[in-house]
Amino acid sequence: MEKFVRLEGVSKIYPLRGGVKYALKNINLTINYGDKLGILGRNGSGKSTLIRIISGATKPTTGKIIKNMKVSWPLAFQGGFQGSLTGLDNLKFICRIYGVDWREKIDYVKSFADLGKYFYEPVKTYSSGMRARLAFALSLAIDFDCYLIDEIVVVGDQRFHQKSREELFEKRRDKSFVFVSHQPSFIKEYCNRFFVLTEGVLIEFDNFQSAWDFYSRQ
Amino acid sequence: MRSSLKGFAVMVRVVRALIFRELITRYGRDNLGFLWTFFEPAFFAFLVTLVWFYFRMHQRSDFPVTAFIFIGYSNGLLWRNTINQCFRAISANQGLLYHSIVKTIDLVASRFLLEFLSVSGGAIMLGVFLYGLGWVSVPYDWSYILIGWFLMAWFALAMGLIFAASSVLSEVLEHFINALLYIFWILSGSLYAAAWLPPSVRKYALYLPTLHNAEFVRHGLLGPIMTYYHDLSYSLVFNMIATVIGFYLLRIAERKIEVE
Repeated sequence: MEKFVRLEGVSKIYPLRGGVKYALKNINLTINYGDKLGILGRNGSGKSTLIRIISGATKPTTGKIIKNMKVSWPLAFQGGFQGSLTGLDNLKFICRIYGVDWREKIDYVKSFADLGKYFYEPVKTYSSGMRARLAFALSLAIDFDCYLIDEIVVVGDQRFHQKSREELFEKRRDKSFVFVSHQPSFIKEYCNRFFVLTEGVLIEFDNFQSAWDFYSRQ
Repeated sequence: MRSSLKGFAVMVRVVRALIFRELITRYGRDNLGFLWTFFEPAFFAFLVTLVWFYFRMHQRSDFPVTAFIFIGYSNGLLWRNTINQCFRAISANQGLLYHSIVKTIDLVASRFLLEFLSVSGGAIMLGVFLYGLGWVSVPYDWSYILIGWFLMAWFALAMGLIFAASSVLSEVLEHFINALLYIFWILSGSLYAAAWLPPSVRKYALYLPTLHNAEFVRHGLLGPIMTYYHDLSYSLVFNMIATVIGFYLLRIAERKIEVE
């Protein structure tokens, strides 16, 4: 079966005091397997809302989403951590909900997150860097067709950074990616479809340069 | 809502994972913590039974007050604990909704199941213990107990859905939910018999499905020592309607939930 995600006329409206705010306006988008989408957008342009809608964490006010492939949660997301759970507990939980045997993932996550003995300690004892590494490692422990990346989170030191790039852009080269960012470097380097999100409207461009020109003229 | 069989399998998986997670966070990491799941409800019911036994009635009549309180109280804990837990289920686990595979219904279902198991387990242990003391005798008819128990569990689940959704939809509810639950705890029928009410009051009390359910379990445990007032079809229909309302409200609530 063909793998894709399609957004049809998706809008998201938030009620505000004395009116409404359109976070997304009538988005039509098809992500095919292997597409690497780079979406440029300033703060408040609706980037995070778009990622949340694609991941399924938020429902659109109108329109619909057809998912024919396995879409990740936003990468390196830490909100699901519970302080009293250990790194291992969090790994078990993630593996259980996605139906994966956690025993097979334990070595990978342990070595990737590089937590040492802390892997068996409650997450509340972690530094923010350790949390970020664990979150990133957990995201990679589950196999998805499409990865959602909200800003390029620079986690850890140079070595960890390099490791993360390898895992994402080399080992998972044939997968789909959706990057949203206000920084051009990653998008230019790794994407093959280019968008600008401005005030909730998504515009596609033929190449990075025209997207960047449009974006920087705003 | 998921409709297919595969969707159901996913739900079972997610609910199971949530229960494991909840057990660790709620009851600590040691094995004694897990036992607490059973002792906590048992302790409450036992305490009330003792107070009742020593300060009120046991000298005045041979009414089996311990058994009466034990079964009614345990039965009532089904809905009380479930509502308490489900009311906080979404706010406490909001981050998990980032995984699109985790639905609000899973949060409610896992907390309901955990409460159902812990309250039922606590009731069985307490029942056996009180039987050992000679304060409770062998049930008159198990089927009545089971009917009342499962009717109450279903009621609890329906209320769990409604209160989980309400916690999202209403900003003021959290300020008076404790008072609300307390008042309903007294009115619910867990701690009084329909037969003790004057007919004019009983007529209205029997609008409460919890009274019917409690009458069922008391009938099953105590046998024909008094007249019981229970109507299976009333309780079933009430549960069905409440469940439909619960699912409907949860759907509305889902659209309002914003994960940060």
